[in-house]
Amino acid sequence: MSNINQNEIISVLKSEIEDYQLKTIVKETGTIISIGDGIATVYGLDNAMYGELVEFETGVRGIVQNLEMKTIGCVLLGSDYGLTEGSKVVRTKKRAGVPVSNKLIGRVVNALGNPIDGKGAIDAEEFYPIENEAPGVCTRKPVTVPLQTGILSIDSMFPIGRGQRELIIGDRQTGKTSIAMDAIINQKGQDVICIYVAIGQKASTVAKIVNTLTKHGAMDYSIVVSSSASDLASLQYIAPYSGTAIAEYFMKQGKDVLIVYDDLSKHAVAYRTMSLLLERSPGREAYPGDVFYLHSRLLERSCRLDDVYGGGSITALPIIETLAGDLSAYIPTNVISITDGQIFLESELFFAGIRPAVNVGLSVSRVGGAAQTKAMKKAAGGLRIDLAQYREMEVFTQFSSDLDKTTKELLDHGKSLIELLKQPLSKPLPLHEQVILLVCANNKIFLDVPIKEMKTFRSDLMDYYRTKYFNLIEEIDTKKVLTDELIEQIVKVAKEFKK
Amino acid sequence: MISQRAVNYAKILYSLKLKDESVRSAKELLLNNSDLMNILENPVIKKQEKDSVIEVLFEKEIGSYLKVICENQGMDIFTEVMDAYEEIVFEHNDMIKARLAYAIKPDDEELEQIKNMIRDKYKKTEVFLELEEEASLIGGFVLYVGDIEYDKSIKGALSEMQKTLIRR
Repeated sequence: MSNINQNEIISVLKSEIEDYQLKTIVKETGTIISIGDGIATVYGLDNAMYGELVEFETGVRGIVQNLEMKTIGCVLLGSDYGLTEGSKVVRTKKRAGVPVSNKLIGRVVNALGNPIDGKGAIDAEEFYPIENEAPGVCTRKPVTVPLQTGILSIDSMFPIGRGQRELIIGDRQTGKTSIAMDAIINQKGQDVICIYVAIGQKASTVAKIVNTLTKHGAMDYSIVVSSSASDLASLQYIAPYSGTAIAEYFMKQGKDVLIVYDDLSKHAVAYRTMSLLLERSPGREAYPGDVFYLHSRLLERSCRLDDVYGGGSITALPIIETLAGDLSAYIPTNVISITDGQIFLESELFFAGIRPAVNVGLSVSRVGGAAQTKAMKKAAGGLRIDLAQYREMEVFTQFSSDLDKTTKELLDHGKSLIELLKQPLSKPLPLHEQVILLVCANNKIFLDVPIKEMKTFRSDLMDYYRTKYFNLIEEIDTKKVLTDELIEQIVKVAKEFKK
Repeated sequence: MISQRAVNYAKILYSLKLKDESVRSAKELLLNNSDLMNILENPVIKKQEKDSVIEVLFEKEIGSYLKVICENQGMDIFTEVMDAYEEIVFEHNDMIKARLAYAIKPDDEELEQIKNMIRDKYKKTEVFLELEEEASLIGGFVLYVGDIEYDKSIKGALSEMQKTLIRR
C-alpha cells in the first residue's frame, strides 16, 4: 500500500474522468410504498422477475419475492437505514448470486459470499446464481465411492457415499454438529472440499467451529458460510443456497465436495418469518405451503455427476433439530423423506455415555451400502443384527446369574460391541483400524476383556498391529478387500497379543 | 400509487362512455373545491344530503356515478380514480404520457425529437409530454415514461462516474 503515491492516484482518477463517456442511462425504477421488518413493498417495476435482484437508493440490494398487480414485495439483503416511503428502487436484471473462486478455500464468508474473517477481499473468478437447477437424470451417476466419516458406528452401519444426502437428526445437545465436524476433519488428504453452512447459529458457536477446524488443519480444504442468528431472515434464508452455489462451482471442476447445513430447522424458521411478513398464507405449524419445496430443491442439487459432465460430486449432510425426540413433526418428516437416509441421535444414549449417540434401530442409509468398501462390508456384515439381538435380550441382564451360557455370551458380546462403537470427539478412525476392530469383535476377541479396560486394550492392540504387523494394515488400505486368510491373520495376531 | 379499487372504479367510469368534457369539468370542480370534497368524503353526512348536493352541481350521468362512489365511501380515492381513468383513456386512444425533467429548457425542435423517439419506441400515435424544471440536474434532462427512466443529465452522469470509480 505504501508504494502507491498521491500523484499516481490523482492521475488515475483524472484519466478515468477524462475518458468517461457520457451516455444515456436507462433504468427501470419503482417507488417504495411501505417498508419494515426487512420487507419492502414497491410500486411499479412492472417487468421485474421473481427472484430478481433490485437495488435501493442506499445501495442495499433486495430480492423480488412477491409479484402482485401493481406492486412487488422484496426482501432486503441489508440494513433498511435511510430508506423511506418514496425511495427509488432500480431493477438490476440479474438473479441473486455469489462470487466464487478457488480462493474461497480457508475463508469464512457471509451468505452473500463476502469475507467476514478480516483476511481481505476475495477475487471472484465467476458469479454463480444462488438458485440453480438441479442436475438432470442423465447427468448423474450412481453413488459408489465411499465418503469416510471416520466414525466407526456410521462407516460400518450407515455408510455415506459421495453424492449422497444423509440427514443428521436429533434433539439439542446430542452431538449432531460434532458428527459433521468429525466428518470434515476426516477428509484431510482425501481430496474433498468441505463447506460448513451455519444458519441461525450463535456467532460464538461459529467462531468455535472455525477454531476447531483450524486446530485440526481442516480449514486448508474448508469454507465456512455463516449467517448467524443476528442476521436478517432473508440472509439466513439464502445462506444454504449460497453454500450450494459455491459447492457447485467446485463440483463442476470435477472435485468432490462435502456440504454441511447446520441446521435446516432454523432455515425453515427463517423462511417462515419471511413468508409471514410477505403475507403468504400460513399452513401447518405456520410454515408456508412451499416449505417442502424449500428443502427439496436445495438437497436435490447434491449429486454425483457423470464423468462426461466432470465427475464431481456434492455430498450433503443436512442437520435437523427435533424437539423431545419428535420425528413426526413437520420439518423432520419432510427432510427425512427428501434425504437418502438419516442418522438419528438420541439424548438417552448420549447421557448414558454412548457417544456418538446413534440410535441403530432408527438410523438408515439408503444408498450408502453400494459405496462401502468390500473390506468394510464384510467386516461389518453382522454388526446390526448382533446389536439388535443384544437390544432384545438387554432386559435380561439383571438376571445374569441365572442365564444360560449362550445368552450370557450374547449379552457380553453386545456390551463389548456398544463399548467398541464409543468414540471420542475429533478422533476419526482410519479404514484399516475400523476393519481390524470389527474383525476382532466378530471373532469375540473382546468378549473376556473387562468393559473398563476396553479403551486401553483396543489402543494397545492397534499399536501392536502398527508396530509388528504393518503389512496387514497396508494390505487393507491398498486392496480394500477382506479375504478369509486376512481375517485369519488378524485374529491370530489379536490372540497372540492377548497372550 | 393507484390502488386496485381505484382501477376498478375507473374502468366502470370508462365503460359508461361519458363525454370527455363532462368528466373533465366534474374533476375540476371536485379537485378545486376542498370544501365540497370534504362533504362528500365525510362519512357522518347522510347519503340523501350528499345526493342532493350532487344533483344540484353535476350532470345526470356523472352525478349518478358519484353517488355510487359516495355510497361506498370511495371519495377519498377520487384523485387515484381520475389518474387511473386517464391511464385507461390514454391506453384506448393509443396515447402515452411522459414526464420530462430538465435543468435548461429544451427548445421546440428538441422536444419534438423527444416526442418522436417516444412515439417510435412505444408505438403510439400521440405523446403528452409534461415539462418540469429541476435545477438539481445541473444540466441535461431526465425523461420518465412509465417505469422507465432515460437519464441524460449531468447529475446522473456524475453519480454513475462515482460508482465506476468506487468499484475499481
